[in-house]
Amino acid sequence: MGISIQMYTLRDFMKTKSDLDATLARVAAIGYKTVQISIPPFLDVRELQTLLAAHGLRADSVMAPTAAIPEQLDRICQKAAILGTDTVRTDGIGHAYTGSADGFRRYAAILQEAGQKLRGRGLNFMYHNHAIEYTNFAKGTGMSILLRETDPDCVWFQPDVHHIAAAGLEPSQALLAFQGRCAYVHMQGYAIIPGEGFDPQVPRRTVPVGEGNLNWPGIVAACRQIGVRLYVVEQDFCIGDPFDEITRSYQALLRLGVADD
Amino acid sequence: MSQIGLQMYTMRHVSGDRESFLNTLDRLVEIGIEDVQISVPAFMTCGELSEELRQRKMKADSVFCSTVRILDSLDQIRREAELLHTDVLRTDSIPAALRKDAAGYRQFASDLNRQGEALKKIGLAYMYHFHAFEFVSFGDIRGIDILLGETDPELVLFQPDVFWLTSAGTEPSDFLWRFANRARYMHVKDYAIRQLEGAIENVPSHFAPVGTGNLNWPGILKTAESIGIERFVIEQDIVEGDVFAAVKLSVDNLKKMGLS
Repeated sequence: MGISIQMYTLRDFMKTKSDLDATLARVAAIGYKTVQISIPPFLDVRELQTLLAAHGLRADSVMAPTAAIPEQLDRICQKAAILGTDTVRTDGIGHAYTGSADGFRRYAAILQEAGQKLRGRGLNFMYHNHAIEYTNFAKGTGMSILLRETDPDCVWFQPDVHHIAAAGLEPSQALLAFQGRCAYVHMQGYAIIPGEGFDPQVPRRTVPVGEGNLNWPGIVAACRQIGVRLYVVEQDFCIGDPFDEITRSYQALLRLGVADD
Repeated sequence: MSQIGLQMYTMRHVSGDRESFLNTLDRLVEIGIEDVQISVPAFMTCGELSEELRQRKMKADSVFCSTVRILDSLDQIRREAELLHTDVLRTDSIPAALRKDAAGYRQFASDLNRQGEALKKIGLAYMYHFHAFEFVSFGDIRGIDILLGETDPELVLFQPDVFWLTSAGTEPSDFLWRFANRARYMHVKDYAIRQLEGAIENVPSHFAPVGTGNLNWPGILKTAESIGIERFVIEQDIVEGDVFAAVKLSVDNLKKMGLS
């Protein structure tokens, strides 16, 4: 079991090589041993790997846009090997596919093709969802289509507990749908902003793990049940100092019984 | 008495005057609604409302009064409750001025106790209906924790709403346990996701008829039954399309889920 951090959370503190270097040092000092990171424009994959190793960190996956995967298999495999990971993560579903059940079916076929090709090279492939995949159609949600129409062996998911809740589902229940095809999960809290009115779009915000209103014990229990190996802290927006907030998340995960070994 | 009711706020756009209001009641009877949560309309007296409901074999599940007016309106409240044959008074939200900090919520909890005590003396149960903003954190405690912890279960009931529990980030099938023996009625509507609008991190939610969205209805109904909910009151704050069709769909789906 382990804990990771999606570096998007710290995007404002890694715009140059020296900033990234300093940020990785602080991340490692908090206790993180693993990061989820995309190759920044100012580094190549080897330089990134060297930098991570210098801080005693490792990458949990390599990022590849879904549409490009079939043509870029060799390059992806090479990057994964350099970063020492067996997992490929991908970007979100595009606007072009979310408007209809048929759109989700077409996207499922694209995921399936990418996942099959990566499985052929011995790599795991995971799709990271937000709330839009839970769009309600006449016969179920977009997510039910993605789950049903992709092969559990080839297409895995990296669900996000905040966004599952934002879609109206109960994360501790909804996670069970990913049984056996979910090695990583994104963890961020869900809190509400005090408001004066009754607007249906109650302002919600992302907060550190362990804070806010999510059912944390239920979520961790469900993650254990479905085989999650890595709990990836990702906080889309921080209110205070992001380094302080990711420290709180790391410590909360340890308190929740998630070991980082 | 049915397990299914309707909060008439849902019908506000089709009951703006006496004629449309009475027509709406007629159509609701056809859909199968008998129990309504209603405020006395501006164009009617409470006695007239009572008579219109009686003629249709409908029943009001409560009377309404704003928290700030209760202690000065006890005679009127008692009269309205008698006319509408109900023993429940429901109220509005915590005043905005008291929502800013834990001290405000503590003040409001104490006000609720005082109001609940006065209402108990005239034979009425007092019911607070929360939304999502009560789930704001003040350090280690939330507004809702203060309201639940510092009001007397003998004096203050709650009317939970599964949509707002979800909007707040809680899991209703779990959080509803906090209202064990403190809730008789519950508001029901579904929580749906539609088109992608704007940033992927901020997909908006939509009100939807029961059974057409993403809420965990089997889990919710199971807990609701365990904590003693008597009535599931449909309230759909915003309806896309025909409001009568939306209410009928909620009624039909609640019946399919086993309610009568």
